[in-house]
Amino acid sequence: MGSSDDRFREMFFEEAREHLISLEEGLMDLERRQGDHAHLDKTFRAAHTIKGAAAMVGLEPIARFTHGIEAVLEKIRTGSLAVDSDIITTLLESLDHLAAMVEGYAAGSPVPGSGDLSQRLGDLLRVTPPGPAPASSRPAPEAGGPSRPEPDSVTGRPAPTIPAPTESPLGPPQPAAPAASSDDATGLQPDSPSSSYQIKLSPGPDTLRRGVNPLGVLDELRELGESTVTTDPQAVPLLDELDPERCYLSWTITVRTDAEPERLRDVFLFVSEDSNVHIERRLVDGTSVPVPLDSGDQQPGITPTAADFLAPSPESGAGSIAAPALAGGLAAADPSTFNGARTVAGGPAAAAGPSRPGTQVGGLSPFPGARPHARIRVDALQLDDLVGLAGELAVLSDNLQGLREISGLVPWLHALEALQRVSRQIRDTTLDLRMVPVDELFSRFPRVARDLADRSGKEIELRMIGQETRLDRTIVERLGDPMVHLIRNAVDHALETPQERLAQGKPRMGRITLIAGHEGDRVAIRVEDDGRGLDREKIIKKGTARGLIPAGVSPDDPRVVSLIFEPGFSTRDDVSEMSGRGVGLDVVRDSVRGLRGSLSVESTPGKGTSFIFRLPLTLALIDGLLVETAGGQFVVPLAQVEECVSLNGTSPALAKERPCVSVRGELVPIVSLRSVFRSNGPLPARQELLLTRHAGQRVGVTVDRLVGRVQAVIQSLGEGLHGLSRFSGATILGDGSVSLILDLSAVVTESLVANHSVHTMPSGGVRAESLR
Amino acid sequence: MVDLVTDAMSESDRDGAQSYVVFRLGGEGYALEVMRVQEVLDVQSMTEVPGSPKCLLGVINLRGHVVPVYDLRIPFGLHAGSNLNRASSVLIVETEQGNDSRVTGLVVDRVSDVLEFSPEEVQPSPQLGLGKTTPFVRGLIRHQEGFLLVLDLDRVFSALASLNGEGV
Repeated sequence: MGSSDDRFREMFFEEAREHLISLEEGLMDLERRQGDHAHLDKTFRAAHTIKGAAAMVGLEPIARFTHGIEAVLEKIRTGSLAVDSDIITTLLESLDHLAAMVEGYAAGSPVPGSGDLSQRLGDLLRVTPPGPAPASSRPAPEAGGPSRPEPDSVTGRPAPTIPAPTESPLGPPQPAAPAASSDDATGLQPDSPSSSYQIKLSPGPDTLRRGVNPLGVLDELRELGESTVTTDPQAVPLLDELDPERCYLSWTITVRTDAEPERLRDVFLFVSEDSNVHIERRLVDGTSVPVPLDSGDQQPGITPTAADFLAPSPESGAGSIAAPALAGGLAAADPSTFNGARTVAGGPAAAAGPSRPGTQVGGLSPFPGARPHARIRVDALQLDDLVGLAGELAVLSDNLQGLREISGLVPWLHALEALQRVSRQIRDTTLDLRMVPVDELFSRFPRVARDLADRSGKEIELRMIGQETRLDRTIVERLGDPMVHLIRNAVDHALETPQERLAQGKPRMGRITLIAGHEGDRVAIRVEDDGRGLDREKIIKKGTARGLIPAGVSPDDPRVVSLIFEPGFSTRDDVSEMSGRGVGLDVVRDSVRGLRGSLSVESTPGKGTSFIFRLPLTLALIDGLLVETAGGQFVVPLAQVEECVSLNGTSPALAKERPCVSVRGELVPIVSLRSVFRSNGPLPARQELLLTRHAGQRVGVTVDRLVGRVQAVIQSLGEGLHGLSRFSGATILGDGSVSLILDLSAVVTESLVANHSVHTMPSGGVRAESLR
Repeated sequence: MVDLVTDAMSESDRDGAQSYVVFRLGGEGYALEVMRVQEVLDVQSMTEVPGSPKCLLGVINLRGHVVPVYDLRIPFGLHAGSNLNRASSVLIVETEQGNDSRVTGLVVDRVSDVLEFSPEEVQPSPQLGLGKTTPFVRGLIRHQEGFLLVLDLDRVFSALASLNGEGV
């Protein structure tokens, strides 16, 4: 039926991924703002679009499954289903499953079965709408809290309302809907095993071009029951004017079927977008009732017809019947509807138990991770800028051609200047194309936090600040897992249970705050919690036992907290029981280093812990300072250098056993690059001091000579050299030679921990005593 | 690695013989499948990496890409005392680590030839007797007066990687 052209499918997968994201955001939003359904339109539309598009490209299982999600959303939107966290959980899991289906089809791998999700969605559709029933007007549950729908609201109610799918599709009138009795009076026969429909189908002129075959619809209708089809050829033009790709025919079909109206509408799923479909149900008394067609796309935002259809309301006679019928249709796969209902009512076990097919708490929900596509979306304005600049470049090169005839330097200089300006602008704009707001990273965390809260039984409030901060796309993509790791750590280990928190006078809800912002030319992303903080005593005990720090170090020593980044520092032992950080934190830090960033930690006992990522704005290019030491040339990122000072043969003073110099009255500890490199050449008479900031403290690094400023395109040094954190990469200089890029902060760290390291001898009085 | 062996075998079955780059290093003759060698360069200027393992000689600029160059004499336990002479060459080889392939340079004393050998000519390597080189040799080829050692590149690289990991 739908075109299965690969290109269209490719487009569908890409679009579906985006819609899935906005669906998830919408659901998280829905949970936050319970009771306010106005914003649901967008979410609903996303589901609807996926459904329609999936049907178009012939992925009917996706269309069918999405339909269930859409129907539940619709029910929520019209207020006939009260949102609680169970419903959101079901929807989110359905979303995960949908994502898994999409990825399955995209990868051509087997598509997972929906497990009990279809069933659970069906159960949701069966839940009695709020209104006269007191059970459904339950208070909005607190997020992650124990409040679950009382079993009677689900298991108790459906009994009278749900017919077994095999028998009458219309079912007995809903006790809760006052309109039901009047339906009987108007002659609608709910118990009738089959009913008669008259359908007018006028496909839009472009239907054939879209690859939809209207005859397929007719075939499908025939399968539903006894049908008669009359074709209306009136619109067919003379042969001369006939456009073979245009659909001129329309049909009138009479079907007698025992299928639900829902099934009937599904038939038109593929053609409804641009076709005119009109369905009427023939009543016994000869009158007919229109069956509205779900058509959310034509009128984005408001789909009163669909709403009427799904929501039992006194005004709509058909509606009150349709809701249970729809539910029956969805549950048709499994006749044991009551079991299903109990699954929903099963409370925490059902929500957090092993019955979650695609979700792994703390692991990544399938779709944010699964976006390996190199294709990117680009701001049209930026692209226009680039096109304009390319034009300017062409003009400039023409000008330069013309200059060949002209003697004299001045015109050349002007042209050069212009060339420089344009090339710089092109570079900046191109680099800018790589920047995305961190929101793309953050937007997945509410879901992560929610799942974690669900699982751990803790109450969590996730706040996000500065989502508009822009970062290199690669960083945003690679930072996801490290941040999930930290958030999971915070929930598992740092945040206390609600009882503990109340006992300590803290608010009941644990808070995790994600803050992004600029810090100099870097972006800092903080992951803060207000939990119990790091247990320094325990860390010291463990650190001393492993010989990582000297005995008797004070708990305030900055080295103490950074011990948690030591490889394998703590897993399931005493530290992890108490403050538990350190499970794989070395891995997190390494991955951040791979992005030329750093990770540090601040912690106040009892008040909380902050992890701070500091990341470069872009990975592709740095402004650097070319320096020379011991015969080699190195690039130092300009961002790391606060100031350069000449050292004129002044022998450094020793303070606390480490050399220091006085820079405008301030005593600054210095690190000699020569001694870090263990090079023994004669010292030059004059050295240069690069002042940098390390852990909030000014530190100087001495080099032999400053060569000049360079712009360096960064290349990775490769896996093999990751152990050498002092070099963050390499670059090729103008003369074709390779120069290594020095990471000053790693150099300083290295010299601080020199006495713990096997391969760097403490030399020149540089010892790892306290900096403070 | 097993795959590589079977691949090489199946290929030689088809073609009858396989080409090897033959080079000398520390007085020994070695052979390496020509498929694994991208190109052979003369030693140009190299940038040293202070603090790197000794076997990493430095990094070079290979047409705009930074490529590390290793000295195999150290993992092979050969005498590394003699400095690289002017005639030294760099074999540019491609290695696969995990799922990304990367380009690496290996310094050798001299690339002498590219020769074809049939699979029958490759004898299994002895378990002993080759000193530190033993784990890196996949087989022996009798050639002229002596033997060529057929290098197992993947083992060489896993050894280099572990050397790097130790940071020695």
